[in-house]
Amino acid sequence: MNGPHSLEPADEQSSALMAATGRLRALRSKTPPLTPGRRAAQAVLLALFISLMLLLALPSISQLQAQLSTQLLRALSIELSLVEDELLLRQLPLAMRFGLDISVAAADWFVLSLHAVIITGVFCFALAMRSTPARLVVQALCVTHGISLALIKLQADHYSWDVLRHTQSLVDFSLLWLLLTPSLLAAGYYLSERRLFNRLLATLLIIAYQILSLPLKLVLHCLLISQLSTAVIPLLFLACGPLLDVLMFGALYTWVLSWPALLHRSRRPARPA
Amino acid sequence: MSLLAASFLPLALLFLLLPLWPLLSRWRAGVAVAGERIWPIGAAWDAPARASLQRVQESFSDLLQHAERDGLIRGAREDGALFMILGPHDYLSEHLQISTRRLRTQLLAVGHLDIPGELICDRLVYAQARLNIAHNVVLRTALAGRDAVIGPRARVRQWIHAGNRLDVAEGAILAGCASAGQEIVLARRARFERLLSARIRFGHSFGQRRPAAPLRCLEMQLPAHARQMSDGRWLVDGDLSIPPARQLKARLIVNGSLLVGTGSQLRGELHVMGELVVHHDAYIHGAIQCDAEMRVGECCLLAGPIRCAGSLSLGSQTIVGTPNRPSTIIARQLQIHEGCIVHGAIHAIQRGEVCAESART
Repeated sequence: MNGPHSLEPADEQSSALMAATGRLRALRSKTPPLTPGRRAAQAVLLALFISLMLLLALPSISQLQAQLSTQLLRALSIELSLVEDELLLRQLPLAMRFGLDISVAAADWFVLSLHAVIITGVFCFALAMRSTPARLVVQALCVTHGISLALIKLQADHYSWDVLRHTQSLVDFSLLWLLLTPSLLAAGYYLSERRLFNRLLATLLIIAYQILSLPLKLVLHCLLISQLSTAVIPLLFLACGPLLDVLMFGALYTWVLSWPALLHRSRRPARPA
Repeated sequence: MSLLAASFLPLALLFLLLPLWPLLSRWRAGVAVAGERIWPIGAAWDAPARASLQRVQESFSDLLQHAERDGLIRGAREDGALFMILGPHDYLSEHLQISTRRLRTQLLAVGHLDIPGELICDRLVYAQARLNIAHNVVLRTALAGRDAVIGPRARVRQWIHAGNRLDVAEGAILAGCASAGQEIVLARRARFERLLSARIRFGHSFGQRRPAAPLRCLEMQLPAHARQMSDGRWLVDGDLSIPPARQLKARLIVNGSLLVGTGSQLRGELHVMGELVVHHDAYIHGAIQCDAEMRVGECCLLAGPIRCAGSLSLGSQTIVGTPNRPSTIIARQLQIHEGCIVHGAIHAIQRGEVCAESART
């Protein structure tokens, strides 16, 4: 019978491919798998290499972040003075620390009262929310802000936390977190992920996010402080400061853990035509 | 605040919270279709049948045209598999010897195909039009372009697919998956494993009594020991009984057994860790998960998917799913009484059987 039954050349090609695949599998099976110790050593070496590269690039990264923040603040017409400060870490002389200072009026009695009224309203609204986690988060933020307002009102003379120190703290933590990222990945992700391309791309993605998010976060904080007064600094530091960095790192970490093989080589022979 | 600052604010927030996107999208997908997503969807069950149909249509299209014009064609493929193609005026019984009990050739027919009784077919059976399978036939796989009729005590070992309607006679056994484009009708004492169709009817007594219209039910309050969990569901420690003609709108987890009274309505997902008994004319709108035995009375409406770890018994005239929103039933042992209708897919893990019409539960 003719039609679909003339498959001799394709069969030959298929058998050749099958043989080649068999040889490849045999070669692969001779390669011993990595022992846990070797895999850990590989992860540590990779983390050390990436940390070293980050350390070397840290002055450039800081400079880039400072320039980005400055340009963004100028574009938003917010008066600022960029302050370059002492070294980030004594033992890391290449690192550079910076902070942003903007001119903003101190919170007076009227502003504090307005904030108190608003958070009372939000707290009451949260009581009617059905979703328990969202309700608890909103209530916790309201209570935090309320406590900070009370401290500002009662301890006005001792309240010396300004925008410059706030932004410097954010920069400190972000750069430190950036340097710690390869080590954190080596402690978990590099051990479970065997594919080098996945490891490198995930590390690059997380580091790029951390580098780019810092200027945006600083400008966002400055913008909110300039609009809502200095009374929101404690709330911003607690809710959108280091906690946000850790949360976003966790989100990215879980996402990259679920990645499939990005450079996938098909082991099956091609279908005969 | 200037326009630039007002537009910067959401953009910066969007970028800062962007890593949460995979988490949120997965979480939303899990919440929106929780009842359907976590359970196997029957839509893929008929994939082998559809793939086989496509292969037949691609490989044998020329030969089928020849057979339509010239009649019977016998041949063999390159791999040695024999095939026989019947023309529109050929009958299988004319081309078989009287002593033939087992057919090891692939069987294809341009028009209708009648398979005589007590024959064992080890290869694919395909009919472009109607496929009639007589009594005590054993088939491995079968495809029908339009309708298929399975005779009494016939047996399908892997799968069968009919383009329109599949009619299963009394005592037939469907191992594997049986699917049809429009409808599957099973007679009493038919046994099945997986069924997939827009409408699956059990027995021939449907329509004797329609499910009662929703009554004017009184709202029921949950017992005092019920407590709300973080995801909004209510946890009831111990047994729960919903009296007749009551309405309850809640997503429930019942730690013990649950009894739903006659004509009651329950709107919300339901997870019962003990026995679940649903009396007749009840209406449950939501996914049902039962970790033990589940008994449903007659004339009930169950709109959501059902998963039962034990045995599930559906009373006569009960309807599961709707034509617009097909449902899924998964149970270890499944007994469905005559008169039931299921829209969607059914999977009996150990044993599924159509029983004679029952008395009221």
